[in-house]
Amino acid sequence: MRVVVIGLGGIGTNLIDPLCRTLVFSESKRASKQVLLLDGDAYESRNRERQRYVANGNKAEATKIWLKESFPELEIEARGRYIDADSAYLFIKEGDTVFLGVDNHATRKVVSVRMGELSNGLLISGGNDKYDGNVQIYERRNGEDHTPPLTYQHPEIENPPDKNPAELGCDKLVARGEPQIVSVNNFAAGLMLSSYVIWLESGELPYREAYFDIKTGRVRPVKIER
Amino acid sequence: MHTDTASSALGSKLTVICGANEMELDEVGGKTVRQIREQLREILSIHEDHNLVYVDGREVNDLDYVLSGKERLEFKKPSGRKG
Repeated sequence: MRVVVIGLGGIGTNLIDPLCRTLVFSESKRASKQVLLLDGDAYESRNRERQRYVANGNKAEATKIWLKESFPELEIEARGRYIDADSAYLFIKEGDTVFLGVDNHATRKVVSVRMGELSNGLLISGGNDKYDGNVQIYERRNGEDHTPPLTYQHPEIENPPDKNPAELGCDKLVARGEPQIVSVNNFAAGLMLSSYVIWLESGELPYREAYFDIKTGRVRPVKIER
Repeated sequence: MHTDTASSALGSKLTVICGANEMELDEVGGKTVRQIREQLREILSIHEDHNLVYVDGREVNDLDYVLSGKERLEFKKPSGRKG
């Protein structure tokens, strides 16, 4: 039972410090002390606008270095690669909690499908556009969906128009960058962590999805109906 | 089965939702989903790719669906892509 953080970009970099802090000081038995970081991207100086930038190099490996210094109580591992359909089973295992902060729907689908193969697991996925975004929470319990997969009511994830970065060439990878706002990344990360904190405390989720919009200041939860 | 919140059939207003934002409209009975979408396109940031529509939790494929004016109408916003 581990915490797996996939994507150490805009959302991941705003999530990882308070997440690790939560894991260290939480008294919940659901709070794992093992963290796996996963990202195939490398830092570039332009990332400094939104991301914690220590030095050039793979994001997962670079993040591991300063995390281990800050949180010696945690066992932190890193893999400098993208997750895809062929490798998902290697990185996401039974009982894991996965935080997903990637920049493409193709990877969201891969991770959601993998989560559906587990008997128990929790997937918290965040995504944003320029001024708004959402968090989706997919929980598996005893072999069943306790909340729906990421593809539910999201055809853009069921049939992603984009590609998994593992399938892109270098030129396409460079072209992926689009303008984002650090506060929007931070908002998504905060909602992801907040839902996790509620789950740690009670074992229950406050909602299965939440939309946010920084222009209107609104957050709208989508409740779990049973 | 996973479903969204059910109808607001007891209300007298149409609740329109897109993403985090929602608003209520009075006296729009007889209007179609298409007309409401055009009316609120800018206010609720309803984009061309928001093609998944729910009326009281039920998926509606026909944009010419006629509303009674007391429903909960959602233009399902796609998930944020970036991160």
